[in-house]
Amino acid sequence: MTDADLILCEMLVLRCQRQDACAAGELVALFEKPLLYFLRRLVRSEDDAWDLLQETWISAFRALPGLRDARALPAFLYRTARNHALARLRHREADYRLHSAVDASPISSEPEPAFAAEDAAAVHAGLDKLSLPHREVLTLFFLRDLSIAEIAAVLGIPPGTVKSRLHHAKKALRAVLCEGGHHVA
Amino acid sequence: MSHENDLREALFRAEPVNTERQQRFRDELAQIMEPRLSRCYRLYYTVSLVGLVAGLPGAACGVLFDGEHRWIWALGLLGCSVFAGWTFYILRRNTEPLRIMQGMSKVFTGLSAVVAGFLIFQGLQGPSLSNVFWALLGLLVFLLASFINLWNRVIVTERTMREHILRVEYRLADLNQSAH
Repeated sequence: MTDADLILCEMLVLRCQRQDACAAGELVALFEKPLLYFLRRLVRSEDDAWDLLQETWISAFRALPGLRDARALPAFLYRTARNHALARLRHREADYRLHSAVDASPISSEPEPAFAAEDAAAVHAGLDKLSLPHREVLTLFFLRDLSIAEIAAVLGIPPGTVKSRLHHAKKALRAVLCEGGHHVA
Repeated sequence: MSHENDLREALFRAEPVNTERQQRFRDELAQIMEPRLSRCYRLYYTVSLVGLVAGLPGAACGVLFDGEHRWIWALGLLGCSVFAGWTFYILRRNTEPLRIMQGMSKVFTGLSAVVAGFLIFQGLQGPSLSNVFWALLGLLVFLLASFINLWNRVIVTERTMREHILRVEYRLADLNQSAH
């Protein structure tokens, strides 16, 4: 997020703390798309994603009056959304494996694939074929709302692990796209 | 978001949102977001309502039988009736209209100042031990109301100032971003 976005966030949080109903609506509108996109990558079903988005905002608004660092709101929202999604996945998905050994191999020296806006449709379809840890880290990276340190805080892992997981996830996504006949730089 | 991010926006476009579901989400959230009274606050308002309603017959008796302080009892009766109605309204709505309540703290300070002034005036007119106590009570209520009002003002001013500063910061950051 840019400085302007973070300031806007802080401003909206302040207005929410003053019980400004319009600010609450603006805050929801600001994060609606990226949070929904993130949740849909985690749970796949659109209905589930909307339900989880609602639960996320209920939790967020309960915590908002006591939120000291308003600029940490984006990371807080993604972490809350992820926690709700994982709680639901634990109940529903038998194949839920967050701590799978996907990042065991070291980072190779070959250049990381870069994804452009023209690849969006393929990237979007490819994300669904990745494992959950790869899917969530790549989605957070593509949404560009959070820094590596903030992604690490959301996922509850060290920043170094985020970098390596991101590296492996990009390679996995490139492999998926190449299988589908899509060329990535 | 104010910054351009092509891939991010392209990804959003790749997954169209069900607008009907989106509207339902917004409507439901708007309903949920209206803050409800917690159990603790409900208990507090219920006890307040019981106290205010119990005070009504006492104040009415004061108006009827205490000729010396009739106008004070009348004010008490009026205050008890108004606040009982207000508390009942909050309990029925199950939510606190905080904006109105912040405005009310100013009115309450003004009213308590008037009452305290009258009580002190009466104490000076006819000095007696009971009048001194009445004057002290009026002064105490006035001090409490002033403190609450001052506290509200400090909080509101602090937040408003911070918001103004943030507006300037936002404008500067936006200009800076446009320049790059």
